[in-house]
Amino acid sequence: MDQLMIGFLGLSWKHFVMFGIGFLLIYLAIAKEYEPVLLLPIGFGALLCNIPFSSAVGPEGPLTILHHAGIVTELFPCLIFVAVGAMCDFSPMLKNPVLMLFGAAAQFGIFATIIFAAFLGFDIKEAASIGIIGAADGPTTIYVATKLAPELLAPLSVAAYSYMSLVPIIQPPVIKALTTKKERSILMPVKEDVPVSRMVRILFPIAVTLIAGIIAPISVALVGMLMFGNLIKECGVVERLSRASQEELANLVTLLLGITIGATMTAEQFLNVKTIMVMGMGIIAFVFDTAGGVLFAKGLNLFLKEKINPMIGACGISAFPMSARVIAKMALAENKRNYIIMHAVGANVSGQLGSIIAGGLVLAIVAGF
Amino acid sequence: MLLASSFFSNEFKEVSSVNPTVIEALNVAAIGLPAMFGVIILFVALGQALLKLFPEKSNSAK
Repeated sequence: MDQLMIGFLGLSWKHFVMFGIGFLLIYLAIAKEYEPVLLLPIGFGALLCNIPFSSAVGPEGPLTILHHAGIVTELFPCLIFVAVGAMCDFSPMLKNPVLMLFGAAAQFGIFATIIFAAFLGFDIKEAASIGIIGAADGPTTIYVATKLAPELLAPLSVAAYSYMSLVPIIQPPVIKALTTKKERSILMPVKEDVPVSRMVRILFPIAVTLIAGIIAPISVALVGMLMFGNLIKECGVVERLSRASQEELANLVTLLLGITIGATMTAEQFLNVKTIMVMGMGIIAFVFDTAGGVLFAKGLNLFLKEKINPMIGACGISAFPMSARVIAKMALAENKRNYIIMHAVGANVSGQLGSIIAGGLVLAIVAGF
Repeated sequence: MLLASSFFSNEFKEVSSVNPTVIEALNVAAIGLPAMFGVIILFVALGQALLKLFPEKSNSAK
């Protein structure tokens, strides 16, 4: 009889709070469709690990084994990068090189948040991991957190994925606060199409891997896997591998990554002041990213003859294609003839590259301390 | 980048009340942001060089 009561007797208010958080994530995934492929397994993982004496976690629990095999070893984020690379098309970015700069400018939130977190008393490794939420890139956040602050992995992952899904809510007010209606209405005509040859599309990922790897060897796993996935797609001779990376690999690793991350959300690890601070700073990172991109675009406009719609700057984050879609919609709301979707996509792809470079740079710099 | 980094280190070392972690964080930003732009500009140049070196062959010559 005692064995049947053990679960009830082990329950505390903390478990109920975590059940509530798990249900909230599942609700957001199913009812609101906010990043459902991630929030659903994360939410369910949170339920599994918070049932007292759960056999899913613990020394022999399957989710703990998956955690050691895929998260501690950084295998899952690296495999996700192969999948993301196979889905990336760098052509819009190569056709309009100015857009690439937004991939750097919109990483401003990372550095602003690192400073902010340090002010709040986090050590430099924790602060750097918190700042990386501003990369708006789940796998990069997980990769950096695993290396620098594994104890914060659960809140960092939840913050990164939650705020990525909230881009349509976070970005518009920041953009509106920093731009005038006139600026938001700037028309950006589609430029004459510059064809990108197959040779360029093949050589670009190889060259980027070599350059980024030599500059920051610690970033090779990040950049290299992304570019490997992209090469699989662009070379055109391994269609099966390309499809497998984009579908089977992406789906399987996302599923395992999500439920494993969710299973790290134990009440003991999650319910503390640090988690609340991490969640708060995550939103600061996204706000500063958006502000950095928009203000950089406004700065560029001082020197450019053909003005850029400053909203494009906000697309320099990695949340693809959500950010591009949000900004394109905002541009159309200001002016019905303002189709900036192609420019927005170019900046958004640059953001994907930029976030990974930022992750590698932060790792390389912090490793030096 | 090194100059920027040493600037922040020296400036803040003089103010004893500043948390050393904040100085490290400022260093990360002082090195990281310019490095970020540097790497991206390098990739812009790389992309443009590749486009020039390997242009798409036109299909118009039939």
